[in-house]
Amino acid sequence: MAGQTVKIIASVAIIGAAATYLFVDSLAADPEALTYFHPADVVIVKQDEFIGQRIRMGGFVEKGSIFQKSGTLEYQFDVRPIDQMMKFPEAKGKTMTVRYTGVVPDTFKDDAEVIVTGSLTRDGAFEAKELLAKCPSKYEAEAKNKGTY
Amino acid sequence: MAQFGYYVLLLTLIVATYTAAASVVGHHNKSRRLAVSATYGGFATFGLLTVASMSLVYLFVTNDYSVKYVQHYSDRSMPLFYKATAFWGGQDGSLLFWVWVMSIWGFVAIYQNRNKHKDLMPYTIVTLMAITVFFVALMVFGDANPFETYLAGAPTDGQGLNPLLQNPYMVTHPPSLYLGYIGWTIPFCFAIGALAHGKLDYGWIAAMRRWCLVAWVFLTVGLVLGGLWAYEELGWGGYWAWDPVENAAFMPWLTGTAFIHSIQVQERRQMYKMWNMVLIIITFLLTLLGTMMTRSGVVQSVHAFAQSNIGGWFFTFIIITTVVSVGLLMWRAKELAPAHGLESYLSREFAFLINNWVLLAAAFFVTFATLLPSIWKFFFQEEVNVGPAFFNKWMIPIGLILLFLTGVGPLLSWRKSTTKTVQQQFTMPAIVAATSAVALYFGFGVEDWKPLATFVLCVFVALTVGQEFWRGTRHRMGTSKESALDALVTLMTRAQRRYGGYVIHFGVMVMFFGFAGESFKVEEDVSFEPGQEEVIGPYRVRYDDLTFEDDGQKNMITALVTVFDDGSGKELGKLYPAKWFYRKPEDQPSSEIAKLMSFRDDLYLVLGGYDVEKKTAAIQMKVNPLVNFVWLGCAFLMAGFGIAVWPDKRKAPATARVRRFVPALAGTASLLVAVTAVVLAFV
Repeated sequence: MAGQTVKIIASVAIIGAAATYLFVDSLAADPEALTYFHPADVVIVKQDEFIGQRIRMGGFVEKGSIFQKSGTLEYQFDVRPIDQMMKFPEAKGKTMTVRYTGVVPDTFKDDAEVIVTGSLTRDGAFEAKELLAKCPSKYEAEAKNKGTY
Repeated sequence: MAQFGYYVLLLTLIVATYTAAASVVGHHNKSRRLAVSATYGGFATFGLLTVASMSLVYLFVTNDYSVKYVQHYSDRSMPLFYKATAFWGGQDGSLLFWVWVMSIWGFVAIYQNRNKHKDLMPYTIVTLMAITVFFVALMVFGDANPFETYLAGAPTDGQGLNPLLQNPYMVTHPPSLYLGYIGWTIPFCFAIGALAHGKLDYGWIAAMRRWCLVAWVFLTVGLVLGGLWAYEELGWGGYWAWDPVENAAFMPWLTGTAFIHSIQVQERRQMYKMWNMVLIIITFLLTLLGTMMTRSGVVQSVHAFAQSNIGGWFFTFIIITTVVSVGLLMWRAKELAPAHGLESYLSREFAFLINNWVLLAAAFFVTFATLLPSIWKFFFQEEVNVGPAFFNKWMIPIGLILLFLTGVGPLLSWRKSTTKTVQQQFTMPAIVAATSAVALYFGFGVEDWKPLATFVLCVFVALTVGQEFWRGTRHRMGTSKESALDALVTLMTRAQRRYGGYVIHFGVMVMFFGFAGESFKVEEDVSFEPGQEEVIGPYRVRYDDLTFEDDGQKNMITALVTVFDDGSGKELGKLYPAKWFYRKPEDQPSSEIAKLMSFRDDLYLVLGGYDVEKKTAAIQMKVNPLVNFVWLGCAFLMAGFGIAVWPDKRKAPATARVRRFVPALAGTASLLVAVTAVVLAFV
């Protein structure tokens, strides 16, 4: 019995170690596997550090800023930081311009909470490849939406 | 009525506590009266929760907006049907729905076993009641009371239900998913009942084996309906995105599937007793973890449920459940030792063991990757996101191993397969599969390893499963001189579980065939002028016009599109992708996708933008190859389930027939639900 227990523990340990190694390795190797999330105020204040990096940015859609090029799927809008969770108060009142091409989720509108995935360009705009939107807090029901992959 | 509902919940709490106590005391004092009263107590909790649930539906239907929950999730203009189903539209109501569904399952389980398993039932009932008490207490004391009212100034109208939820899938998907998800509670209760009492033979599994199948099929159908909903309603053209909420339902599916396989080993060979206990406990814990993850804001999800304080409650309950379960397991460890060891690696037992390990590994991977952002945040104070690419990277190989086992497992015999039978069984499928690999690679230019491996394994599984039917039918035709069809039908009715299982495996293969289509999808965004034509994949798409309509509840903007076959120029049909703007909730548009379906692929159109004056439209076009095989595979799966549990009239006595009838009825009902969904999808 004792021999068997040792065998079981040893095999679990070996399999566990191998799985952990593979897991961490594949996480590190794939640039799309793990994406850092930053609130809009951090991105606005530390713009230069993020240029060219793939990140996720969260904030609110500034009221009245959504512009859709007529008859196309090209969008431009401004994202403002979420007041309650600001790390950099100096970002208050500032916004980040986001460009996105594709079908937007139905929940995307003024004051909606959005998470955009993409990177900052040299001209200081956020080029989004993916856009997620939650409806304004009033609706907590399931509202799942995806931009395009 | 709101007060009434709340008091019914309080009463449920009392009755459930009494039932648990009566059950234990009755068992230890050998008091028949107390035991009977515990049985009725179990029925009563079901009755009370039904009354509570119906009260909530009544409040919705009668537009009682003094109730916060009703006010949040409905409004006067909603059709009656959606008002009633808004019951599970939000958190508090869905908790009530959760515990109500569990009480339905509990009622049936207690009813079926009221005169049987006298030693097993007391602690099974206690476990069931403990879980009921937890959920009801959560609603009553944990700030999740669906009957909470506004203290002053009740609004005259509600805020409306998100239009994304006002569609047939959201009527069928949550109940099916819940029935399956919560269905695992019953086997868990039996497991704890068996552990607590120490009756650890096959009895507890025999008592709930069918429940596992029912839970499994509902969960599977629920997952597929969820995918169908995402595909039809969300407009991103896919059906699975490894979102935490999807993962939460998928985790117990993986371990539950493992459990269904390994209990057969205990049935046939009296092995894996400990393992089965561990699997069902893990499955139940994963359902709790999944509910906690999705209901408490622990995990960031695009399914936006409110952040709430029920996370702590769930966490405590999970810890208690784990401690109790592990304690019981350690206490009974000696009695759970297997009757004998494994005889050969070329045996079905061993194939099932491998299948179990792979499924369990998949479950742990999905759980870990889903929780990784939360873990990361805890340790590094940084927020990260784990994308679908990472999940796919791991889950595709794991899925392919499982697909392979789907074909191999059933063909190995119990105890030991001889090398000769293995050769007989696998030579033909292996050769044909290898040939198809060459043909696909060189003939059809399938060079990506993922679809290539999937297709080849599909061929392999189809042949190994088909071969079983073929051999069995041939054998019967030879011995009993029956026609081919008669022989096939007799074959399947004589060994329902076996052939039902084969059909399910065939369905899994068909679904994988559909998954492989993902690799070949094409997508294009086009800004159309009226009359403009564009080619995508095998289709030529012409945009004709834009129309505007209003039906009182919503404003509808529709693009008129004609689709032609690009090769022959033949008109294939007209499509109407649209955007609907509901009056309530204000300004919330709903994209109505349009698609042209065939077994080869779907042409999938989304109206993304438009210009009212110039009548131009921006349309996203996608060609999704083989996607309909995913739904078709699910239909096979349900058919296989039907075959496996269909009442066997020949040998079963009347009582057993009734006992078997219930799961069969449940199966038929789920089949109907799914068929309705598919029909609706085609309309």
